[in-house]
Amino acid sequence: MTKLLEWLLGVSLIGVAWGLVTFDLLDLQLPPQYRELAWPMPVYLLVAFGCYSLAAVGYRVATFNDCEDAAKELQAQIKEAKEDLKKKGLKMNHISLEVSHVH
Amino acid sequence: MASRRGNAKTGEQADKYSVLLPTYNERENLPLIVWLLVKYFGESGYNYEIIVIDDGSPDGTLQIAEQLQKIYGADKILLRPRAKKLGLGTAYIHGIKHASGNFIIIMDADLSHHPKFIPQFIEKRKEGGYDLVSGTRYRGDGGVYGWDLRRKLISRGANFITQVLLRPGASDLTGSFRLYKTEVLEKLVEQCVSKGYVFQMEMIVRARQLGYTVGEVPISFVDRVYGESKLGGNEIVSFLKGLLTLFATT
Repeated sequence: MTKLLEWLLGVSLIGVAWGLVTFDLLDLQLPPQYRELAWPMPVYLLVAFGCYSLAAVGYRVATFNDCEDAAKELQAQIKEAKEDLKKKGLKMNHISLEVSHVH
Repeated sequence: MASRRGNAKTGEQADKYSVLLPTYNERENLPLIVWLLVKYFGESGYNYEIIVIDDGSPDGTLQIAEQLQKIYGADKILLRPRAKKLGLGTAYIHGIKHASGNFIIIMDADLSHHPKFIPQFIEKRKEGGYDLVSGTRYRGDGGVYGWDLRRKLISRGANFITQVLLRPGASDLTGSFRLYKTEVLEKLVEQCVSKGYVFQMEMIVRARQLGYTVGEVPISFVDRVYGESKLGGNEIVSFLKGLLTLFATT
């Protein structure tokens, strides 16, 4: 089953459950509190998911590791590599030595 | 499922790692990445070869590659160029044809991926018996250098949407620093139809579909070209299109 179909299935199941409770389709005579709670659920869930998404992405951006050390190490190794390759006879016109900084 | 395990390994000596380096205008970076590969493979003692797949670079990348071949030996540096820029998927197919290793490492040739992680990939793969190991920028002490807030936001945002829609079981889908069993890579490239970022995503999604196991190793991604190649609206749109296609078809 494709992810799309999984989603459609999941949404349908939830939709049916919601419809049954909210509109009392099976005539279960549920107490009114259930119906009052169920009715706005889809909107609540969407809003909750939206908030979770913003929080999750925000957190992940804030904690995205900045690899300063890796950049420094690379810079040093580039120098070392260039010298060693020259010794071994490699002819290069010019090789950029810097790791460029962005803004 | 037994066939997924691959043939029984007779020991480390039997394993050989073929590094595929598709290049286009990497005259300056190629010697450096090769030097680093030779250094880390040399230190770790694993058997390897480097296959340079140059797509007719006008800047003389192939000439530099020939010099490197003289320095390090034609058994270690293989040149398998192509006439023009033909895309990554076909570069992999082309590379696999000429690879003698039972494992293949794919990576970028522009020094954003550091060969020091390759021994870690190899160890991780052995540890878990994985069919493929993927470098991740998003877990552990993985990360990036050289990205501004906008770029990080787009990256994390896109990854979040991908995780929600595809639930792929891997944290970094668009990364292209990976170790594959040769037969697994062969099988996957055959099946994948997307281009660009989405191609790498599709590889992992299909791998999971086919029951292959995926391990992860945190890596640092040092972006030195970001200043020149901004991630624009077009790329974002085609990424979303590709993502939705995968969502609907896998």
